[in-house]
Amino acid sequence: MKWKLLDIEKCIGCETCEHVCEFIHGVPYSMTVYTDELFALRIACFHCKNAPCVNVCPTKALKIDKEGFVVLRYFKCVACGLCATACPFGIPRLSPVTRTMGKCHACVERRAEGLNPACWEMCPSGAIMYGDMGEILLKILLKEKNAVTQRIIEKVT
Amino acid sequence: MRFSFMCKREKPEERIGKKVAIIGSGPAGLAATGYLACKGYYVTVYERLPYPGGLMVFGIPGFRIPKHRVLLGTKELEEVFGVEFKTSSKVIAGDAVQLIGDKYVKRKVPLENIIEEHDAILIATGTWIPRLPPAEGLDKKGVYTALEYLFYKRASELELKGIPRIELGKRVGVVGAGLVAVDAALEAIMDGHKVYLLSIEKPEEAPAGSYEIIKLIRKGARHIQRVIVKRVLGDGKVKAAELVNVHVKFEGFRIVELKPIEGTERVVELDSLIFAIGQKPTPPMKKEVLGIKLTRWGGIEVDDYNRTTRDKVFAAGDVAIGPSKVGRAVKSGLRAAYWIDRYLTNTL
Repeated sequence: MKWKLLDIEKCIGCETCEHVCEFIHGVPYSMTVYTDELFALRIACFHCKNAPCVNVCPTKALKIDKEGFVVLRYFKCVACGLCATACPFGIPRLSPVTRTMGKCHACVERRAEGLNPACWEMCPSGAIMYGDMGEILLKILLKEKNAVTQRIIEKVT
Repeated sequence: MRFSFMCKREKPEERIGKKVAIIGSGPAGLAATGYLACKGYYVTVYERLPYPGGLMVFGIPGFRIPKHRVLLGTKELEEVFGVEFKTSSKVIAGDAVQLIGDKYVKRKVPLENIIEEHDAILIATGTWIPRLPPAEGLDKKGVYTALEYLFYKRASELELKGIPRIELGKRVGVVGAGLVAVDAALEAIMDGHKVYLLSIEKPEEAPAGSYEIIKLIRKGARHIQRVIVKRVLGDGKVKAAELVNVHVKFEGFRIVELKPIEGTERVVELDSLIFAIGQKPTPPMKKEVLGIKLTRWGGIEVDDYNRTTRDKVFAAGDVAIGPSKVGRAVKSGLRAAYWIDRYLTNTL
């Protein structure tokens, strides 16, 4: 089981992930969106464990693969758009390259070759976390622990 | 950052016996280096500073992009893929432009030699000349540009020797409202200076975004908006800046009309001024030489395949597309590398 997450505190909104993704897949599956205050936020598929898009797909084109990522099998997709409606984040979009729906699959073809997702490899600030679930959980917990201790220290002193 | 993300961490089995030179090792240059090294080309990178990385190492603060991430990536390129990094060597064509950090240049390499020796050349030299406003008294001590200041901070973190100290004094005026201005102001605040952010834009119109500007104000900066610096006062050293209010019209983030309002001049006492109002491209040449055409704004002219007007020579990154973010530079470098590969395999 693997995870790919974003540490918003570290993300600097440099758009590298988006452009690298576009270079590899032809369409960016990772988007950098801006709020009114121009606060940049990278939005890509969260690879839900109980994914609404997988549940709703009529042709079973979407599935969760061995490593826990939601992938789309293009040859089964009929581009009905139900997954886009079901997704709370609006991640699946029509892809002009494959003429089906398209979404982040954590670089499924690269993972098959033994490589890692390109956005994680190229992220300059280290905001994208990828790896075994346990490792990432440990990282998050350590960070949370540090933050909590920091807050306590600030309150005491 | 693993610049060679297109292949595994091992030496490519087949080598294509062709040599590519990359001039400049910023995000665009390194992304292109990684792509071409994966394809099996012999790549040589020319960099005028002692470490590769460009503005990612010598400009952007470490709390945004940790330096070691970039330097580890370049180390991998060097050790695993056999990329040759020629640091401290500046590539020039004709008259050289003096840039920040030229103190560390040990060798000067003429561009025509590189063009002769390699099968393809990628120019990715970026934007290293800071713009200055048309104000009086900018030759005084204490007037700096943000690039100078950030370069000084990074160089002292890397423990490079021989860089002149930058003494900011107590009150610092940072002119501009872009991301570079925000970075310079943040560093100054963290060093314990009192920062005055002087900008034409209101927070909601700033190119850096009101989120960053308001964060700065919360950290203790004072924002004086709708002003430009008319004159820098003081004898020999900055003592104060004369500001004047302006009328301004925007088209997106671009200023289309700027008119100073007479009679609104006021003086703000400052010990130093940091200008961060934009950067100009710095190609290796000052004017058109070797058949490489420059654009109206000083960059290198490229077509859709990243080719310049001279055969074999490509250009990418900020020098070809104008000042932008890391991501756009990376994409430009990757695209240029893709077209170089197509060019060298005769499929372009």
